[in-house]
Amino acid sequence: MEYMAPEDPLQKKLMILADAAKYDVACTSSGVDRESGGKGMGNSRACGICHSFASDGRCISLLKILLSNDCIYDCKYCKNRLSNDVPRATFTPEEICRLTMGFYRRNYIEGLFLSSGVVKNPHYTMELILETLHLLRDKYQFHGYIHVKSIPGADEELIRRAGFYADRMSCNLELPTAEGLKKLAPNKDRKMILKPLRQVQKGILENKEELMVYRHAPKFVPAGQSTQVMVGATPESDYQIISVAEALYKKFALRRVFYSAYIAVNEDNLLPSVDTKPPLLREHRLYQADWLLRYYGFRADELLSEQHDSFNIALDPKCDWALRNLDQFPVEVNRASYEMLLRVPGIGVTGARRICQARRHTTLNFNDLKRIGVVLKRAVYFITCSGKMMYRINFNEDSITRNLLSVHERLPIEVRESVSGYHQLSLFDDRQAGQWQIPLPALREVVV
Amino acid sequence: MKSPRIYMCEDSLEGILSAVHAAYMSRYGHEFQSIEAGDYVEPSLFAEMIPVETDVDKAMRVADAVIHKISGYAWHLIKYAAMSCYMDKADTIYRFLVLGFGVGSKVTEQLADPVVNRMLKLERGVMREKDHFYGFVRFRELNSGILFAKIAPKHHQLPLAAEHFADRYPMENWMIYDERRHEVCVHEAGRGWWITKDVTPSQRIISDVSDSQKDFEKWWKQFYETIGIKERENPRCRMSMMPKMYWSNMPEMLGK
Repeated sequence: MEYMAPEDPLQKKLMILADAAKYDVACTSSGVDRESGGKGMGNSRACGICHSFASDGRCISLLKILLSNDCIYDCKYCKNRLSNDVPRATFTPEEICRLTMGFYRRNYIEGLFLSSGVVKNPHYTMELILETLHLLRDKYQFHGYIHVKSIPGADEELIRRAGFYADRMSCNLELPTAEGLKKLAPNKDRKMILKPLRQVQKGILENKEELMVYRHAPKFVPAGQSTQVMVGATPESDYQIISVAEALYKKFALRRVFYSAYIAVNEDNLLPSVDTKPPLLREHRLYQADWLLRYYGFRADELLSEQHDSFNIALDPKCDWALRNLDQFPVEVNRASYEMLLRVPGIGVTGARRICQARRHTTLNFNDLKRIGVVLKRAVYFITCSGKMMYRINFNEDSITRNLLSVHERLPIEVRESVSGYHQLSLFDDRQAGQWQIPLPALREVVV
Repeated sequence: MKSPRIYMCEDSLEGILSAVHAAYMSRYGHEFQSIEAGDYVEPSLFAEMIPVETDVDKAMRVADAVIHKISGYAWHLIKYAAMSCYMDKADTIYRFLVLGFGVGSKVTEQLADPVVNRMLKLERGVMREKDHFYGFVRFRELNSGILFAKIAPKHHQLPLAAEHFADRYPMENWMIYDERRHEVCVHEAGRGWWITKDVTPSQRIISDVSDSQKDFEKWWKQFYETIGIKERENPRCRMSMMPKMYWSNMPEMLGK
C-alpha cells in the first residue's frame, strides 16, 4: 500500500481505521423514522439517505470506521489479522464522537457505522464500543443513525445495552458454511457467531411486545440486524449461499444479508491467489437473487437446485427462471395476480403495483404500460395485453433467450466479450443447422 | 365556440390555486380556459389574458376542497407539482382538479390518464431532486458559528429542505441559500425558520470559514479517499448516482 502518513494524528488514525473498515459492505441508513424532537442533533429517515458516492460507486451514508484494528484473531482472509504487519491504531471514544458530530453537523453523513477488531478480548472491545455509543447518545444528544457490530463472544449484557443505543446491529458470518469458517478463521466458530444474532433477534421480539403495552418504552435495535458473507474465498456454490441466506431470513429474521466479492489481500495456500480479481458479477447475481427472495416471493430452490447450482452469468436470475418455466407465460397484464406480475422479468414491485392500480379504471394496452413507467425491454416477451403480445414473436426458449441476450445489460468487459462471442457463434449455427439448441448448461459452468 | 381565456398568476402554490379559484368562479367552461404561472407567457393572438392576484384566502378554500372532496394524497401531489420548474405545471394542476372534483379520491389511481400521469411525473421529479438534496447539501461553519449551505436546484426545493434540516439541526443557527432563485432560508437555534426572497449574501462573509471547518474538511476528504476500494473502481457508476452538477458544493469532490 502506498503510504503517506499525514502529520495530523487524528487524520492518520482515520486513514488507518477507515481503510480497515472499507471491506464491510453494509452502509445503509434505512429502517428507522425518528425526529429530533427539537433538542440535541439529528433525525433519521426510514428510506435512508446517501450522502456521497465513493470512487467505487458505493454509497457513503455512514462514517464507516473500526474502533481499532488491533486484533487478537488470525483469520486468514483479513487484512488486520494478528500475523500481518500493518500499521495499527485505536480511536478513543471521544475522538469518534468528535468526528461523528462534526461530520453530521455539516451534513456529510447520516450517522456512524462502528465495527472493531478484537482488542485484548471480546468483552473489552464491546465495552469500548458501548462507551462510545453512550457518549454519543447521552452526552452529545445524537439522534442520528448508528449501526454497530455485536462482537461474538462478548458478554450478553453488554450486547443488550448496546442494542438500546443502536439502530441496527450486525454480526458477520464471514463465510457461508461452518466448514469454510473453520478452515479460514481458526479462532471463530459458527455457533459463536450465531449466538449474538439469536440474542438480538429475541431481544427485538420481546421489545415489540413491550412497545405494544408501553408506547414510549426504549426501542431495541429498531432497524433490525444484518450480516455479511464473503463470496469467492471458499468453493461454496451459489445454491449453498442463497440457501443459507434464505435460512437466515426465515430463522433469524434478518433485514439484510450482504454479499462481498472476496478481494485477495493476503497470501495463503488456503485462499485464492493474490492476483485473483474479485468476482463482481457473481456478487451482482447473488444480490439480484437476494431481492427475489425478499420482495418477489421466490424460494431458493426455485431459482437453483443441487444439479443446477450456479447462476447463469449472461442472464439475470429472474429471466433465467422464467425461461425454465415458460409454461407459466405469457401472462395477461389485465388479469394476472400481483404475485404473478412480480414474477415477470422486467416488472418490479413498483411496476406491478402501478399495473394493479391503473387496471381498475381502464383496460391497459402497451402504450398505457409505457406511460405508467413499466419498462418493456424484457417484459415484452412474457406479457399480453387483452390477449395480444406486442410483437409477433416465436414463443420458445431459444428465440426468447436470443432476444433477451441482445438487451443491453452493462456487464464487466470480460463477461461481455465471452457472451457476445457466444452469441455470434450461435447465430451462425442457427443459419447452418436450422435447428438451434442453446447450450445453456455449458454457459453456466463458466466461473467468473 | 367561445374565445379562449388564459389566467396568468404568480409562480407559487398560492398563486396557482388563486387562478384555479378564478377559473372556477367565472363559469366560462373549463375547456376554454387555461392557467399559466410565472412571468413569461406565450403570446397568443386570440386568447384573452386575465391576470390573477394571489389571494391566500381563496387558495386556502381550494386547498380545503381538495383535501375533503378528493384526498390528502391529491393535495400532496399538488403541493409538490407546484414546486416543479416545468412551465405546464399550473395548467396540469387545473386539469387534474377538474378531473378530481368529478371522480373523487379515485383520481390518483388513474395512472394511465394523461393528466394524472403528468401530475405524478411532476411530483416524482421534485421528490427525486429532494432526495438528492437531503444527501448532497454541505454546510460550512462560518467564523460566526453559523452553518451556511449553497444550493442551485432545478425545482423549488427550499421549503422542503428547510423542513428537513430544521428537524435535523434544531439547536443550530443555519442558512441555506438558493443561488438560482436568490432566496435564503434562515434558521435560528431553538426557534423556527423563515424564507427571505431577493437577497444575495455577501461573498466576504460566506467565505470566512472557521478553523475547525478546515480540519473537518481535511478529515472528510481523507475519509472519502480511503473508503473507496481500488479493485472495484467504477467512475461511471459514481457519476450516475451522484451527477456532476452537485460536485461544486461538495468538499470531497473539489478538483475532480
